Amino acid sequence: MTAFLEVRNLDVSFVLPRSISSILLRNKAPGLDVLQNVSLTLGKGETLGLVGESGSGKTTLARTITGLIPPQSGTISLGGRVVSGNKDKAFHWLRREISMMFQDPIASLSPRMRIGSLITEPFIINDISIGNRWEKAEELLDMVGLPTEFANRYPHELSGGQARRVGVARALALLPKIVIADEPTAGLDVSVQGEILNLMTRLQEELDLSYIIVTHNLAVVRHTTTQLAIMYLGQIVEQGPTDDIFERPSHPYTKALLDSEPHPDPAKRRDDLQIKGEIPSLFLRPTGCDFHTRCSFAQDKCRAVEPDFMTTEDGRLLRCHFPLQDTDG
Amino acid sequence: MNNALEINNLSIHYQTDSGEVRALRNVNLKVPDGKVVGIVGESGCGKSTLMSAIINLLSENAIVKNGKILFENTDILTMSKHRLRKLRGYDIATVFQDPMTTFNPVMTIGQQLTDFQHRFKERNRQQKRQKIIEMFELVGIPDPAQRLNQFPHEFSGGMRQRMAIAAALLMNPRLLVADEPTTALDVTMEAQILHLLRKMKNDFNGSILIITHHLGVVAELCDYITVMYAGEVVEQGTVEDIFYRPSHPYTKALLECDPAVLKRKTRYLPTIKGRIPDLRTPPPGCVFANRCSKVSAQCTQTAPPVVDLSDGNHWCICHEVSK
Amino acid sequence: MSLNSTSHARSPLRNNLLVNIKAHLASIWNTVLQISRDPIGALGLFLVTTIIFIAFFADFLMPYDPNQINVLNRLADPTWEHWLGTDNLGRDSFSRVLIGTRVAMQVAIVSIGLAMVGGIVLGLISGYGPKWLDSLLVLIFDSMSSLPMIMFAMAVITVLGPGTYTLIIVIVSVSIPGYARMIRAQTLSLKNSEFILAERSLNASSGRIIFNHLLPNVVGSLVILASMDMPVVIMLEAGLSFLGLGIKPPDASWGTILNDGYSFIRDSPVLIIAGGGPLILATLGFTFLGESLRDALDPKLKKRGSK
Repeated sequence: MTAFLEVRNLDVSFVLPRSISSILLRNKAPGLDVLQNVSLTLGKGETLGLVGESGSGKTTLARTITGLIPPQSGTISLGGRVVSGNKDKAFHWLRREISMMFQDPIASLSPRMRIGSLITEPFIINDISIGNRWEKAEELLDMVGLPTEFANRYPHELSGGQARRVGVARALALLPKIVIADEPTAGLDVSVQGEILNLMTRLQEELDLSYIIVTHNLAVVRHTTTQLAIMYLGQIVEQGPTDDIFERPSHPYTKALLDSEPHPDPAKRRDDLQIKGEIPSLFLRPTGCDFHTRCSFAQDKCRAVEPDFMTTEDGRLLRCHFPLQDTDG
Repeated sequence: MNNALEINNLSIHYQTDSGEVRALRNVNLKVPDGKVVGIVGESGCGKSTLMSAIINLLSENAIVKNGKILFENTDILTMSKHRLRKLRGYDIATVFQDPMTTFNPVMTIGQQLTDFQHRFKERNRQQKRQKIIEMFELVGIPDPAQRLNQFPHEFSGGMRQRMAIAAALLMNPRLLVADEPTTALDVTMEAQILHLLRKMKNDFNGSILIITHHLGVVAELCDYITVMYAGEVVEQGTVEDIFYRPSHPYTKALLECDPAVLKRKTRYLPTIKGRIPDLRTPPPGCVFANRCSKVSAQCTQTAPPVVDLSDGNHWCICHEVSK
Repeated sequence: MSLNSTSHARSPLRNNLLVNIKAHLASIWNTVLQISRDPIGALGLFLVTTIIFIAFFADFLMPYDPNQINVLNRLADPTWEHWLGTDNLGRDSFSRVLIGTRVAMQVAIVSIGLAMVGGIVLGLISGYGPKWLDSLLVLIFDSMSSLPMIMFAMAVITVLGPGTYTLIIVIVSVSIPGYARMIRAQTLSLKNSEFILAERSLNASSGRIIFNHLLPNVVGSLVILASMDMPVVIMLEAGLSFLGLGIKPPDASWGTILNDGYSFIRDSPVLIIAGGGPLILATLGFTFLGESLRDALDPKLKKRGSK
């Protein structure tokens, strides 16, 4: 796989408000590390799934890649062109090539604008002449399978699935190279969620797009992605081809996550629990391996030493001292 | 076997500016004692209306056209205010989707759960607190004694949902109604809450009614399943009937759509074509006719018959199955 | 491209603009209809339209020159010639009330309009701009609101001298902090919403985000606040004029009429009614309209209130 998008050693930390005494003593503002040393690669035409519990930093990572959150350090390169630093200007170019579909389809549309104006807005903002604005709007609506009279509606007049389609139209209007979709199926019924995912797949084939799908819906990820990255507490703990990971998860967290998904089969009821407790607060990041507090295989080494990235024989990236050997590991 | 809850021929309409919405039509449902019943359906199927009707908290523009909701042989819909107050939270406890809204944000958890028990006159303050601590230990909240003095916002979503379940069980209700109890939670927390409910099922001798759109959740927990579509019950049966021998085309399609059910990886997921009909003017025939792959002329004209598939335990309404 | 007229008529932008204007007019008309269905709102609407009509056409409606002195006929009781009698200098009270209406409306509308513009600009800058500027502006707003209003008004009038312009300056500077703070609060809560993030991800400039996306979403509540402020401003103008700090005496204002009436209350009580009556009607009218407008534009609020 040749890397098309390459994210290297990205660090993001949020500055916390300082107390008066620390301002007077001129202490450095405390930071909360939200992303730690995140690296990712995405090949052309590939779909990468970004999976983890809420609080794992997946949305932050998605927003950092589009330059909505400035990184402390690290680089993002697309097709060989490198963007670094935290100046907003630097991301201008990147944002035209990488577009974003937001989590809440209705709330991510400006409430007092009509759909027609909303989906042609990317052209106006980026000074691209499109001739007849209305015709372009109709063309885009047609592309995502919405009737053209929707151009005159307001966002609150749409259903979740329809608003999601408008989100797809807006994201694809400028023909980007990469689309990042944040929870594209959140809040949708199973029968509608398939329609949105199929639309995205069809457009991927037609327009030669690469996708990053951020989600916690593992069932969706299994069918729609080729690569998978699992995040925990702001770090990627395992990355590799989706099929391999579903077949043989190597990181205990990956396995726990896969096992937690309820099976729609009454014969497969479980009576044990794979994982207990919740993701710890970022303020209280554990020592050693971040996952050791919930890991059933944790040993003394895990509590003391932070594991480094290693590559397994089949080309998977992994951050664990004692990776699982087999499926039943 | 006795039924904790029995719904007979329930029809509920909503009066709106643009006409009368027929949200529920002739719904029949039984929740047997000590069993877990799941109601499955997508948005617009009438789950939430049914839920509000069971606790008699329908919105002002709702009209009960006909039908009864029997709890211990009394109709909840015509019950006196006094009896209702005793019923809600005491005989019937509820757990909602959003654990954030269950608790009052300005009171400590301990205060709220002590107040919940005000009907137990025989328990004094100390005993009430002791009871809460016992329940918290049961649902897996660490350091329950300290946690009692904290406020709801100091807990995570998963913890709040555990507390909501603890609060519901504190009353030792005959029926626990859970509306999408795991939808707002992560998979890992969902698994823990399901595990908890499964454990509860054995200890607690009441019945549970779970309303959800997630097939995985019902498969994990339920004994009986009711499938709803556009305000009607389209199929009812045991969990095995529904998952292994689905009969109604909608049930089949719903099972086929779930990406978790598909064994083989596929680039394009199956979907159900079309939209739910407008419930102001429901079609004269079968409600699912416009989206059904096996539709015939009969389906669009006459209402489908009830087809009994196994001694009244498993049935569905469909012309195609009746042939 | 063909030059036939059908393609011209379908010009999308013009089409869109027309649709927009039509939709806006329709929504304004709907609001008016909704207000007139509520009895309190209908009364408010009637009073306010009448007052504004009088303010506009005062010149044509006045039977006499409001400053025409006739000492022979001073403090006369109402007659068919002088509907509201005459004042201590024999001027026709009815004409003076009409021209006073114009003064009151001029001051109120101009100053609230200016205060709204100022509030929007400062509020948006404060909410969307850099943090240091926000802190500075909030400090200024807070210090402004902590000044006792009458003291502030008297200080400004002492420096600039009484008159219509001074009055407007006082009212504008007293109203801006409240408006700006409200716009700022709304901007702050909207600025991190998903649709603003979505605009930023499309490379939208700050100007575009502020004018096309923030502004339309914050003005609605400001209009309601401002309409509720009208009676306050009318009272303020009358009050300051009564004290001799507003409209200069030969000119008529409800406040100066009241002041004249107050001095000669033993001789003619009619003058007090001539000055006070319109003031009461205007205040009530704008209050009723404002409340009804709020209910019409924000139905959620009404529901909560009635329960």
